[in-house]
Amino acid sequence: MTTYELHYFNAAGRGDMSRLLLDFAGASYKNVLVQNADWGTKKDTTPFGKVPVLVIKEADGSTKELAESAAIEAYLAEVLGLVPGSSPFERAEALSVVSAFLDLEDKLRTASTGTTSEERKTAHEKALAETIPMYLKYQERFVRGSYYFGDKVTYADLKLYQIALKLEEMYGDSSPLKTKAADFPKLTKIVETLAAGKAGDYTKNHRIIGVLKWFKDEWKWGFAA
Amino acid sequence: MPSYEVHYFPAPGRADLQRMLLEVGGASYTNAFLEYMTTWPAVKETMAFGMVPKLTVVESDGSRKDLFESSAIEAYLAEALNLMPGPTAFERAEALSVISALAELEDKVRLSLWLPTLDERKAAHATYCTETVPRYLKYQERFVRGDWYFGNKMTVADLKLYQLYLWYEDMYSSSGQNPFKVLAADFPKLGKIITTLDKGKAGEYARERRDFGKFGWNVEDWKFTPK
Repeated sequence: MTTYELHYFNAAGRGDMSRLLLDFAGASYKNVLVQNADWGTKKDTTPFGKVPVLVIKEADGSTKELAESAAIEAYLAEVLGLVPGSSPFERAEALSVVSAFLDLEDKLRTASTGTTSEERKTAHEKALAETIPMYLKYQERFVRGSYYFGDKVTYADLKLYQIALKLEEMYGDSSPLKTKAADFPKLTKIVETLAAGKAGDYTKNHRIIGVLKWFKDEWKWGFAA
Repeated sequence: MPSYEVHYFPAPGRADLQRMLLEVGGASYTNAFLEYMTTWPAVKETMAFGMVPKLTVVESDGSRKDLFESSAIEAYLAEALNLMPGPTAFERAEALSVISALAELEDKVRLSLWLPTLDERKAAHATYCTETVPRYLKYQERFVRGDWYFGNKMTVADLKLYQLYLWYEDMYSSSGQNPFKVLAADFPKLGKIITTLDKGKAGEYARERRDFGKFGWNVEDWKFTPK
């Protein structure tokens, strides 16, 4: 049986989605948490000087490693059966949904780059009122069944779930998935169904929040002691 | 054999790599250009996520299917046109990991493009070229496993590198600042990939079918502007 190690900081961040995929699929995996103090030594041992890195240990004892969260997630989705189908087009369609969400995440990061909390608050309030609902509108339209791609859970659905967790952490009851739930019935149903199952179990029992937290009065992420 | 339509603005932008893949892969394709002020607003809502590029795959029986998001389009075309290191999920994911790391470097310059004053833009670009780029390229240089990123076979990873080189040429050739040229001695393997691609089909695409004469780098203002 293949076993996996997910090397990342003691935080959700860019490791959360890979952990969710591994956990949801029932893969044999462990988290190797990189402490900030050890990062200096570890950095150059990684392919591109970054984490997450996925270490794959095959049943025959051979090991290989994969870097970059986008590549790790695409890989895990495929080998763990979380893609709509085996053809290149079907896999690319799932990737397109995830890519649009990554774009939204980038916009939220940009909203926290202002130097004062006033600037950041204004940027996030605009995101809440305009940007996030705009992205979600297209996502709602895309959904093709009980799940994004019909009857089968894919990593597109799990990415939506991870986004829902992040929006909840950042905005609580102001998350547009809550305030405008009536506009997003299909997305809401996917999130609720996943929360009631193995994805919800991951969140309750295995999800790592660690040292990176959202400071709501500062409108940015930061390290908590 | 399918043919393809690339729906995007008449600029390299986020369609450059997919056009390059189609050219190098010998595929039959056309550009369906959108004009930002006129035709684009009318079709925006027809795009799955409200964005372009869109790739339309036209099968030999005439059926059409659409794919959105440049990273998904690039992954799809690389696989369909035999520009991946191999057929397995791992091999394809490794190629995507190189592209992802290079795309992260590419994204880091975008902030500089929008800074409000000329002096701020020039300073930000200078820091990018002398500090940010070498930090990323050092890992890329180390990764290369032969004549190409993945040994003996040219793949989408090599073409992504070349696409980044071309974008730097757009911005920095007039000031002699393209970091691939300035720092060439530090990155010999990357330099060799670029030189080799420049001499072949990718270079021919770059010189003859990449730019549509509508936008260009304004050397006085340090920004891209319509021509």
